[in-house]
Amino acid sequence: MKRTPSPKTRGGMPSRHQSLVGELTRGLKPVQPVWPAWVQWLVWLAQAVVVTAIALAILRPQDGLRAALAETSHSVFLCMTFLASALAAWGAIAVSLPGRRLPSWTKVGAWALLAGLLAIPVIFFPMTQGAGNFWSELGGCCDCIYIGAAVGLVPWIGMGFLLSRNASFHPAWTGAWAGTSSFLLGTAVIQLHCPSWEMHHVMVGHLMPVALMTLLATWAGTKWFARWRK
Amino acid sequence: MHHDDAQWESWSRLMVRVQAGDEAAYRVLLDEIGPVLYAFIRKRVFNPSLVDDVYQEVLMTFHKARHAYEPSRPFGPWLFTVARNSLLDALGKNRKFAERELPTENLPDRAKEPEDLGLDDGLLKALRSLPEANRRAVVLLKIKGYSLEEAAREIGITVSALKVRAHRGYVQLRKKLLEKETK
Repeated sequence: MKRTPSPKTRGGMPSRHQSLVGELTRGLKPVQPVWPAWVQWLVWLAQAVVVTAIALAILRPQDGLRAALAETSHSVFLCMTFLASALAAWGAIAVSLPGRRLPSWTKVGAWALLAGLLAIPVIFFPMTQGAGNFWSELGGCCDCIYIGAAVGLVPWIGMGFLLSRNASFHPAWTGAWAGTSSFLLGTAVIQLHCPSWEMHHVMVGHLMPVALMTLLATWAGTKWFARWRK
Repeated sequence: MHHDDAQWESWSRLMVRVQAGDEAAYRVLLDEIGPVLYAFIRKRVFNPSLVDDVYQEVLMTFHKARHAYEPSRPFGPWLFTVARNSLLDALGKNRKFAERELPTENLPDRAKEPEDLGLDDGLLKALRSLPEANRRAVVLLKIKGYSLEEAAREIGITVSALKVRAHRGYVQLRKKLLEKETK
């Protein structure tokens, strides 16, 4: 089957090149360039500090927080939550900017931190006898679930506005990273507020909302972060 | 096509002016990067009738994404990320369109028709003499420029199996061509 090649101009360029150039350059408007990735990350950091401070001012840190954090597994868990949140924020920013590759250490580090966040409660946190029934746990964890999701929603919206200014070719991944980052921040806040370090409660009430809200954030990301192409 | 650092830096500076709304700089930039993008697309799109449409799509995406260039970053990786992703999106859309518009029974089995590729008679004869499976692998990979994954998908085998067939095909083809030369 012979195909007729399209007409070409000088230099082998298609004839529509000139008309496209004319169309794109005519009435060109100035655009506000995106902020550099590290500036965006600093904006996220500032936002995370403010959200955490305000949320803790409203919710109040748990009684005996100092003693709870003296336990190595507790403080490591909390540090890892903040660190994973910060790393995921970088992931969301990097994946939404063309030409920036997410270094493999970022991916490996983020997955290792997430695995650690699941492993630490299972291995080190106390388990109450009789606990473990998912539905009864869920009933007792509702407040933590709501508060964690609500606190995470604030940085997620802020981050969404920040990232929607970029030009993501992977909106679902951008949404997933942004959701993980924001709702892990919610988990960190709720972990500072809620006095329970019981394994089942932490898994169901503090970590499960991250997974659920990240799924929602991924779906929302496919809509929100693809709008720049419309 | 090779471009030196000075060229990329010059395009980066033009891009900054484009972000500031400079029409003349934009015209110069598009005229200069146009051939680079067109070559990039032609190398990856094997259906000639789609190349110009994909080029248009890539330029439109470039235009929409121009705010997302960080002036402190190298221009090349940014440009090719935009080009690669919009190319993939454009091909995705076109594949769906083509599937809707063209009944597949009317399409020629491209891998079975090396004579349509305008090849040298000797090479064509040598290719024809290869076993069907190996010939298909060689034609898809080396003549039509499919990637391993694309060719494996087209034939319906694994990449490893395709590599084996292609290797056997190259060896047989080389032997045939050498035989012909020595005669």
